[in-house]
Amino acid sequence: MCLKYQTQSVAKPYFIASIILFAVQISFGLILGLQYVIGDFLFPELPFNIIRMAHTNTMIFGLLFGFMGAAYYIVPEEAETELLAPWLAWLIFGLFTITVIVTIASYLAIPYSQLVELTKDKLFPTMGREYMEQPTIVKLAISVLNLLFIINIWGTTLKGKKTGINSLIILGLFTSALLFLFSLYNPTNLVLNKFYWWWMAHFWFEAVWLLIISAMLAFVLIRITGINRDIVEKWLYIIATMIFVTGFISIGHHYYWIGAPKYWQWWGSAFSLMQPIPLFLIALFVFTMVRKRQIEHPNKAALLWVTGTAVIAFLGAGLWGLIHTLAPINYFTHGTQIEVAYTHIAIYGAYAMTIFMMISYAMPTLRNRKANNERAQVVEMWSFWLLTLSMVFATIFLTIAGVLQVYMQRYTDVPQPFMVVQERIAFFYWLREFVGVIFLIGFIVYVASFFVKQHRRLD
Amino acid sequence: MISMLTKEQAKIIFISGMIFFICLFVALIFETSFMWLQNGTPATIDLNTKLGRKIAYGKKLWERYNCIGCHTLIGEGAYFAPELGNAYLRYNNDLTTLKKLIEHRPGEDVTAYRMMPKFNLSEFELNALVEFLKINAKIYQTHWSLYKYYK
Repeated sequence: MCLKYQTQSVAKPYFIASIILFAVQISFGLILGLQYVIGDFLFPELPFNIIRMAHTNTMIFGLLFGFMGAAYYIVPEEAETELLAPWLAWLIFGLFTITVIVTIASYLAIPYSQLVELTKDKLFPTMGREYMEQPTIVKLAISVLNLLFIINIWGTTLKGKKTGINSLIILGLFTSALLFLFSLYNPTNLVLNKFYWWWMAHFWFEAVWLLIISAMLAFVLIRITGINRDIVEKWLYIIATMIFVTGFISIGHHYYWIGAPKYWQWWGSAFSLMQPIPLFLIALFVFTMVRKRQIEHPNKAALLWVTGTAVIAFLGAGLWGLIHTLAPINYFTHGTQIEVAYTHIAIYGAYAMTIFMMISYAMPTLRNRKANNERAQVVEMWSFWLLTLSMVFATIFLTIAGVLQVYMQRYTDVPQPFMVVQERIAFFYWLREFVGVIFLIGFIVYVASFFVKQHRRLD
Repeated sequence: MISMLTKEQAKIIFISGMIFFICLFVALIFETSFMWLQNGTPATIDLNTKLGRKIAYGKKLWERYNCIGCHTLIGEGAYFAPELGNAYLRYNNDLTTLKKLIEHRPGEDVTAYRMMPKFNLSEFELNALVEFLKINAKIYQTHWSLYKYYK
């Protein structure tokens, strides 16, 4: 048996759900990309705002599935004990899957305003805000399921060994669940609304989820490099320190223009400047560990994902964030395609790739082998390059579109209206759509790699 | 530098760093909240007045039709359609034009570059929605004054 603890196998359905939601997310993304250049594509049945919220919501749900799967795999193995309640994990999986399917289907099936009425949003209005479009009842359901999930993994660590990786991943998941409660707070005043809206959005993407992925990286690195746990966990604590040192106050870079006091421009800029540090440390950590590796693990694909995510997370979340988070620059770039470019490369590099890495390491063991056969690994590596390079190119095209947009619409002496500029930069949207198709092909190759079998040797 | 530390020291650094920066963050949030308590939050509305209730209803409509799914509001949202934090300023403080634009857009007869769904709002709803946009223009104008350039 390749699994150390039987109950780790509950991670498998979570990983599969995460992969399926990723597929859905890519499809919606391609529709959105097409709507950018063909404005009436699928109109009026599926207007942009509907597909967009389906796209971002499947992203969030897919990442949550990935994190939960990773936690169910990591926590028992680290605690050296079986999971507290595997049945509960299955129950949460079932209920969460139903919630997600119903939510996404209802977005597509009925107009959003009808959904608002149908779910009695006026009793407790929380809908219609970016990333928080889910009906209030869905938000409550997710919160309850999150709570049960935390109880399940926390209970597991309490009856087993305590390790740094487990403490940090649980701290990350617990605060992530806690922050989701801010989606239920919807003040009437727009300034307050935006101010607290960022508590979920910012802290998720720029603080606690980084903690979760660092713990995931540390877990995999211990196993595929054979480096002593004390060294890996020491790095993990240093990275976690820098994540929190830079992550809390840098929320200020969202408070520049929304009516918060002016001093946030100084605090936000100063701490945004430091934000690449934890991501640089992650990259340094991964490369140091891989260079000094004690063993040669047969899973080469997982090794590629580990190093890949370190590089792209640093470039995407770190540098691409830095190019537009300083207040004087953000004055021009705020609300342009620069931010679209950044979110895509940052979320892919820091989160999607880490989940792929986790799946790449864990899935073979869940399928009762130490690593996939060499052919399957080669196919998976191809998918790595297709996915990553096409996302890098999509980012480059969107950044060019963003720079042109900033120039034509805001920076020049003769600024042009939004829609005129959008039409003039459409060429780069076409290029983005083209690499988007390559991204989809990369994903198909990725899925295919699960089914590749070794040729029988002719002896 | 990292090799000089032990795991236990790193853990202590993590916990103390986390506590310190949570405290600093909370202090800043309190500072902001106190400033708002003293001077009033920008764009505050009084729910006891008729106008205040109208604006609050306008915000509900904004959420109900998921406007943020295409537009940006003070730079946040989707980047598919024009910024609306400055819509009131862009149309020369003219609420009638804004209302007409929401209900009758180019593109109903001729094919436009990007399409906006038709919401069939009543006159009362239109009024509430544009009042909501009007009050947001105040935040936009004082903080992110690109309205001069940003059409």
